[in-house]
Amino acid sequence: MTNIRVESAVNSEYFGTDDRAKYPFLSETGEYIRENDISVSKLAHPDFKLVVKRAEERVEEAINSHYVSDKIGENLDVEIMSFPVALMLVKATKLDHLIDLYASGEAKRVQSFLTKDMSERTQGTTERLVRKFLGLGLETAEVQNVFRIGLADYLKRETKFRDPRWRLVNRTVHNGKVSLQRDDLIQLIEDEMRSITVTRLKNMNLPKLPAEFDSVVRKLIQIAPPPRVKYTTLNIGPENYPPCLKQALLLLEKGENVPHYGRFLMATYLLAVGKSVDEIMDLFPKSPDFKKSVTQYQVEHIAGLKGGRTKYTVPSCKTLQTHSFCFKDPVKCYEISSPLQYPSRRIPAAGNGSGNVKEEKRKGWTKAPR
Amino acid sequence: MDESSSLILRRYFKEYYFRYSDKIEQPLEIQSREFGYFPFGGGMVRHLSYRDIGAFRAILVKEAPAGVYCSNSYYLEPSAEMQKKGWMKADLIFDIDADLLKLRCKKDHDIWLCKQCGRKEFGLRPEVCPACKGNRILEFSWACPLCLEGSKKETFKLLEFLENDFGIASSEMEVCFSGNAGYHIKVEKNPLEQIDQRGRSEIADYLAGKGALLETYRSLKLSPDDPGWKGRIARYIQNLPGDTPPFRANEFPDRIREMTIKKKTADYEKFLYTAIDATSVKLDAMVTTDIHRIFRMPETLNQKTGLVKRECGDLASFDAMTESIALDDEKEVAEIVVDICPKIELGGKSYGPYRNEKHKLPLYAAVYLIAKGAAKIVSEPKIPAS
Repeated sequence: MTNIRVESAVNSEYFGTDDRAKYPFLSETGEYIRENDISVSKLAHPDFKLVVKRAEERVEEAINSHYVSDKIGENLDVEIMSFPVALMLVKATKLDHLIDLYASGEAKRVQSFLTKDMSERTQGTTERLVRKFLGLGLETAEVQNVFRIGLADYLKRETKFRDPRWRLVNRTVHNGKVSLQRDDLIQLIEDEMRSITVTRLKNMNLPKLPAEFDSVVRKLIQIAPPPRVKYTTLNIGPENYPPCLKQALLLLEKGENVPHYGRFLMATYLLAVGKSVDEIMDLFPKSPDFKKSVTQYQVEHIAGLKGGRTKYTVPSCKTLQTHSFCFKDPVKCYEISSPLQYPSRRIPAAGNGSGNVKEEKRKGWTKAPR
Repeated sequence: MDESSSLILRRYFKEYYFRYSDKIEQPLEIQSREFGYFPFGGGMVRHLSYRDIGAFRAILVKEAPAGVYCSNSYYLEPSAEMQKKGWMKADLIFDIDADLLKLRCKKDHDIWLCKQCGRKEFGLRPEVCPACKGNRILEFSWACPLCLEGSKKETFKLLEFLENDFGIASSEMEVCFSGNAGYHIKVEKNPLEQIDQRGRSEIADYLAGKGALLETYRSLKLSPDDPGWKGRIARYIQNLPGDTPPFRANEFPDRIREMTIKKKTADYEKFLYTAIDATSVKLDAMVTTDIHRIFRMPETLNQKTGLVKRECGDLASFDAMTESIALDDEKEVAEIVVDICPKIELGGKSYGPYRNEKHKLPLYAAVYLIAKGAAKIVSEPKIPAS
């Protein structure tokens, strides 16, 4: 391994080799590899045996324990190099669901380092880490272990808002800054790492790997879990409609005006469960301001048949809440994020295999057609 | 609307744009904005793009449209179809309208119409028409001084959130009377312009207090000096009258204790939602979250009233029903037949309530009632055809 060892301070004002090993997402890692003239064709060389072995292990750990372990105490260079090699292995399996699994495992590894570093290192280092990882400014609040980030930066991490704790209303927002506890900040970074790795893997152009890698890739395909079953929700009867859709239909029935999001939900949901444009149109005539040609155009537009040809998806529960069109059933709506997940007759989409029975039981879904 | 009434509106709008189109200011980064207008009797014309406001003003003078709009978004290709525009960023916009406030005065001035039998009455929309039992019933909202005061109060609430919570200086906000029954607020050149639809939805939810968890607000540590929502809830508790159940104690620490420790969860939950409802901002979330919207431009006319969407210099003293009149020539009168309308206040005078009555009113008041769909023109005033 002597041929790939470098000085720890190379090319980094703030981060050393140990940082690159802990946080291989850093752009310095790429520079490190480039500077050492390490190419894919060289990976089959015995010098890189440990690197390839550790790369394989990283993916295996992500599959088996959803967590990539901390081995920086053993060989920093191997730890740094094995990350890009592991990415290539994951890409070579051509298993899309393995991308998410691996990215989550690596993100968990980063989380453990961050927790330690943020406790032990100086505030300046923490700030630099966050700036480097997320590209955002960070202020330290007067209270220990509380940080503040810009409101715009917080809102860009909108995937977090599925967790009620992360909703803005449950945060202290003051003067354009959002307060975060240290653990929240770490979680934010962990999520960011996951999404960076996913994006990197999805956009990766896989170089031709040496033939010696074939058996490793085959093994990873073998041990990877099956993909999660995708469900389709065809032929749902009105008795199983979610409460928001029932409310929209009730308003129509009563001749009352259905707000925009109610109409949008009706069209998208009913199209998603297999209703035709004509069947949906049949529901409308009782509306007081009904204009058939306008409504037909709108439904066809939503179906992707007119205009920009974009097929619109069913609005999420959160979107419906924003527009005051959520009529939550406290039991059946529990833990769902889309009206399409409302417990009803769900059929595995064609070619999706047997499905995840445990998951179905937990959610109270009935899988098989009655 | 009958032809003569429609003609009078068009002439009024044309005269306004002939006289005052130069008041319409060029939006920031005009080359990245989408423009649109709504012609009288036609469909929306949009996906227009200009490098200079002068060219657009010329169209307004020529066409005198019913509504005039500009995107709050900035695009690479503003004249391309929606999917190909290339969204870059968007001003943050808010729409506050009295209709959303569900004020008690609505029952006194709103009007419903049964499409089945044609009956029209003041009051809130009934489930079914008392005359024919039909349920195809339309509602017509009207704005009274209480409605406008309510909208103004709501706008002040929003400004407080924007300034204290979001750190937006009042100089960065443009506050306009919408030309109907509320206010439009726009924030330009702020880091929030980069936020997409989902982030904007979170902003709308924050202002409405949606998604609040009980555990966030059930704490002995709540203080009226806290920033954000915690401070708002604490101040709400602090300012409740001493005899308001469930808080009988007058000292704030006692009140907080009573709330967090002594009250049952269900009771506190109910109280919290009441506190949020009283403290939150009622706004049209569609406007804030939609980043492909074109938004009425300041100094243009609102076709629902004939009033101007006008920037309020000092919101507290702004008198919407006087300061937003487009052509305030008192000598210009028009004779109209009013089908039904509540009492309205315009230009410092009150008119109505009217029901099947003929009246000679100042042209702007006649235009207001015609635009609201409540009146028809009888004799035309002499407006110069520009």
